Amino acid sequence: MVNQSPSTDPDHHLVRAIAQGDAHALHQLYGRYGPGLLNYLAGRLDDTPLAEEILQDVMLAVWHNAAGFRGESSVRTWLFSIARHRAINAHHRRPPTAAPLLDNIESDTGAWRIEQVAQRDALSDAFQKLPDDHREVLELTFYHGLSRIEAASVLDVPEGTVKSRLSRAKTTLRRILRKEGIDHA
Amino acid sequence: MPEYQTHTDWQDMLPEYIAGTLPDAARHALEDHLANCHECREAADDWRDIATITRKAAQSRRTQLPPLQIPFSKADAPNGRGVYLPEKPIKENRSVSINPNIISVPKNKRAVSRRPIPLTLVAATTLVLLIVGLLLATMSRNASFLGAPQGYSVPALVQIDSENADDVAPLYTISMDDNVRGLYWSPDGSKFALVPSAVNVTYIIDLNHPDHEARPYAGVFGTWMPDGQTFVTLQPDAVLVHSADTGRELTRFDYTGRMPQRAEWVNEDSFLVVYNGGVDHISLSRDTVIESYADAMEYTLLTNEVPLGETGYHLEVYENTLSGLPTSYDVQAEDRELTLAPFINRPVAGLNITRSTYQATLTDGVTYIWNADTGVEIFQFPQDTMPLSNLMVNPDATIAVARESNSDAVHIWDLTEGVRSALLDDGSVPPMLWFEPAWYSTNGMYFVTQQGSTLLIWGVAETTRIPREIRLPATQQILPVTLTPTFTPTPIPTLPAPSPTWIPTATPVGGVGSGATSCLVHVVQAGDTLLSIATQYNVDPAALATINRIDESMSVVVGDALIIPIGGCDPAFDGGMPIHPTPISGEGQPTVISPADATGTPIQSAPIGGQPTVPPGECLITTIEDVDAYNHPDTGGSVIMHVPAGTDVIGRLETGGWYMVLNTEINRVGWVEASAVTVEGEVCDHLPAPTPTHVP
Repeated sequence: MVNQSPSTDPDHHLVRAIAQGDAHALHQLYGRYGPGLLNYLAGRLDDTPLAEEILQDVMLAVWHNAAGFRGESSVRTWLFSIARHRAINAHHRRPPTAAPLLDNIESDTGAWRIEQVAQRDALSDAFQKLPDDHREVLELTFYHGLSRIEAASVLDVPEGTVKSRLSRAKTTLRRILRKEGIDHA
Repeated sequence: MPEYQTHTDWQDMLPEYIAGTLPDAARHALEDHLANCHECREAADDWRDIATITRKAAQSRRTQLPPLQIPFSKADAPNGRGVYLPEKPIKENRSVSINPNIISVPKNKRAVSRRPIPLTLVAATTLVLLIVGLLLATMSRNASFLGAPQGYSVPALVQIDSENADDVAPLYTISMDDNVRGLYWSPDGSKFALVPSAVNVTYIIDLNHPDHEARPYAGVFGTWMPDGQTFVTLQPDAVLVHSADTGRELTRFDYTGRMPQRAEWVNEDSFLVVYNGGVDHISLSRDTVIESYADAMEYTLLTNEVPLGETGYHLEVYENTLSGLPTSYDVQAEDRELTLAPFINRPVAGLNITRSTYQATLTDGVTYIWNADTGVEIFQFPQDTMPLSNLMVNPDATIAVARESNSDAVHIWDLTEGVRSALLDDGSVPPMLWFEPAWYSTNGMYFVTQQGSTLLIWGVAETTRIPREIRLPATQQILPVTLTPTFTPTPIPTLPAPSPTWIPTATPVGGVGSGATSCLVHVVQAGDTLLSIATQYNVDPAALATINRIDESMSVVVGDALIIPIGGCDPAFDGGMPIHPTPISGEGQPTVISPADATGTPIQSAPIGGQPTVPPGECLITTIEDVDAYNHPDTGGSVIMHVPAGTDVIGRLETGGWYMVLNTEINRVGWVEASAVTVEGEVCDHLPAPTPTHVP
């Protein structure tokens, strides 16, 4: 179980130290979670410089808000939750981008030309065509290693939604691949 | 179809299984199932592939962690309040466009949030309200008067020849045995709410009422409504609406378990309640919550004066989920474009916070007073050697009040004549309010100073010219705290071991010798219930609930102090009836627990007859640095005391790394984090939570 109780999660000590103004502890936390958070932010924003900027905001929020961290969740969950809010706010400030939406995928007939690709590359390509919330839940689960409870907490949705979103992501992937003529699974 | 359900459940576990985040027990069970379920194994393979491409996709993002670039100045240190501090505290300015050439009248004259959240208050105060080095000339005769602003009628002032100090006397005095937590003027300035530091009681004092009685109401003051009669108080389990006119409780909203923290009026009919977990918007006419922001913790109300008939306010809500990050909700959003008058680039030296119509600026040694609505400069004072601060201008721009930074003497200026009309130098100081810096009434007719434990209410305008007789003479004091003797340690001359008291107990009422009451105070510990406390002291639970003004069915809050109704304890507090300042007799003997001596030995508890008892776990501790003490062992509580570095306090280790401390210098109890203090000796450590001292 990844979700650790406050007493066993060593990161809680770091956060407590941060709450008392220990900048070194903040650097430690940054070193531990910064790479993952940056990756997550870059994935959400599709803009690495912006993601780096947002990450600084996240750490500043941690610095200011550490005292408010109640330890009801894992530190990692807390950090991703902050990052997610920041990413959403930053996203809203940007002009809308043409994110590949499921509707587009279904209405599109042959707009995608995947040439001479191995199946795994097709899978990767299909992954990029998933709606952002599907990619997000997949990444949180398989790349960042968040449990369903933690992912639900970060995404601010019920656990059941994480479950169904994962399931839909799988179904969508399969549908995309079928469209590509690659009958995976 | 139980089998199908089970099958789905197994399938649902697969992502976590592949990710390696499934708890062991579930993983073993799933593996057993997979051994017999071909379909599930196929699905697991699918998930394995998906996991692989997910990781691959994530890894393909080439990111390099930049260095952490956060200014770690002291000012940026964590606020310690558990509330996210926005980097740009003045949210009001977010949509402000500054055009130095345009003067326009803001729609809302009182756009400044009157009582923002504490942190916002701190930030806003730092940036806007706190006066930094206002140098205001005291050479009044040299002040150049530019005339009263247009559109204002200027009532004739009674000329006050107050350079003679003997002529100066306050209109009212209010003596207290406690400090003031907050003082809140009603919109018309005819009444004010007074909240003592230690008890959850609001006193309304109506200056126009012939009796000048201080009428107590349950709960801590929340907000006035614009009518100046209706007001809101907050209890741990309820939000109450009262009429100051009739003294009646108009309505009550149940907030059991939600701990209302603040209230803020929105318009004539509605107000906001910030509770632990959300923000509600409550309509009085509909007697119900009309909007609710669950999971919101804190808020900044950017505009709360909405003229009746118009709609639109902007509510900044801070989410109370894991992040505590701000989310802005536009509630019938009104994009009010505030155009600022051309003096914006001058440093703000003062601001009338109750009505932001007037501002003072300081440029090249000259203090200017401006009408912020019109941009008209209405007054100038050349620089003088006497630095003034806290300049306030009354709504009619006829009077300015400021106090000397050094001496706390108060200058009153007649802006219609351009003269200093009064100089109060009686040694009184601005009231030591923890929250509302409301030393000047909203109608510009009164201001408040403090002298020792006495609040002095002064009049400045025609109807309340200075001097006037003291309407509440010292023999008829209003003693808010003595009536509910919680946390009000008071020296009692007849006692062998005078203050400070650890658990505050008895307080003389109506003067020494007229009788005294004794109340035991129990500080609620984790696991306590009303019933368990009642059982512990062998008192009637109903009586316990009544005397503490809490609902018998409601749970008690850890850290709260409950009065134990034994030994003749008589808080003389009966359901909101007016308290008349008459002596209250009691039969019980006061109980006093003396503090530790300087060597840090445990605190001796000495009832009036001697027989000391020793509450365990108490000791003398010293604060390392300036710390805030909270009303609960929780940074989410309210700051009730600022303890300067090096203060010796008597402390007791509580659960969760908090010390309950008694600041013996001001006889006030609060909670500080253990990290903020050093302990002399080891007596504080590793001792069980103390039980309250009970002297039979």
